[in-house]
Amino acid sequence: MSVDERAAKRELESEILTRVVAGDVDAFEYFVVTYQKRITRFVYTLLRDPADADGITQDVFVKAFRALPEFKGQSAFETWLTRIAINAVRDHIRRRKPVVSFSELRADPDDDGPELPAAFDPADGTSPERDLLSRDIRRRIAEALVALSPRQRAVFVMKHYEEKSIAEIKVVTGLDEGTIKSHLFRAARKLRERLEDLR
Amino acid sequence: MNPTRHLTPDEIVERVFPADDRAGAMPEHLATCADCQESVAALHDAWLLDRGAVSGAVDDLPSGFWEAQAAATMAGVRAGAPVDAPVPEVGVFPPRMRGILRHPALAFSSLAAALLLVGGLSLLRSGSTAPPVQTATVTTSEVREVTPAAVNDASDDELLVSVDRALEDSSLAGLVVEETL
Repeated sequence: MSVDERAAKRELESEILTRVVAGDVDAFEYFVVTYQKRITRFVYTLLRDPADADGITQDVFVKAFRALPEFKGQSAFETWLTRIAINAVRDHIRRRKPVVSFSELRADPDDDGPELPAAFDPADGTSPERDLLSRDIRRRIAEALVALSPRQRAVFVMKHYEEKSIAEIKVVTGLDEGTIKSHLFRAARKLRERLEDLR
Repeated sequence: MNPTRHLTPDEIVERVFPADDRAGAMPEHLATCADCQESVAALHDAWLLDRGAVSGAVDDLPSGFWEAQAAATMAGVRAGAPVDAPVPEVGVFPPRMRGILRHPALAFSSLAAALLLVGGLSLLRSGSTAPPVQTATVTTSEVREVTPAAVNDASDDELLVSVDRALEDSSLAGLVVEETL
């Protein structure tokens, strides 16, 4: 997106926000439709649970709507929304303790892992070998991600899955550059511990 | 770095997941060592596969999913859904019943009051000489003391209206207490 396009979008969003704050609740749907896919993808990458991703995404928008009076427009709406999503995921992780650990799931060679709805299962339609490999790698990486702290996880996903720069991550999280790099380094080290046999 | 030494696991991870916007300079050894190149490629491919899988899983969802999600989200927005209730609960009991289950004392006091009133009404209708029924535990202002001797159609109607009102009031009171709790 060019600088001009970005400025035009920000202006449009500012106008819509003014309408919403003035009481036009339906106008908020613009933000839902525009950002629901991005927020769902972000939350799903962090949690790897389709139902949680759907529910938390809805919650993020409801929270954003209720917090709109606090939004000063100093950052892009998307950035602000991402911040709300990170907090929602962090709260979700703190609230929910896994009943079965990933390592326990992995111990059973006959276990294909948690069932994913068809639409969420990317292995669908490929060869059985590839299905198996895909599932195995996904599970190991999910296991590695789950072992990270919520903050490390968010920083890592933004950097390596959403391809955001350190500067962009800094804007979203409010962390300084050194802290972000430290989180990335530690996250990578934990991943290495989990994925060591891939060497 | 010693050009003859293999990359350590940390160095391999650092090649794929650099903690900076740009990966560091490629170690001299990596340019010539097939084993180390393979290790880096395996991890890189795994990560790409996972990233593609995650992204594809969401991007390939049918439009119906997004429409339904947007509709549910807007319903939550319009209803001013509680912030601390992110995912709609699907439970055995309807929400009102779950509210009662959270406050059993309230539920039992309402039930006891209703039983007292209904019991009193039955006694009146059967012409019993039972002692006057006191309903002060529920709503002293609404239900007066009733003496069986004065029972007739008019007072029956009046009593029924009082019972209705008392039940309605106790139910409303329960709702208010639940929400404030």
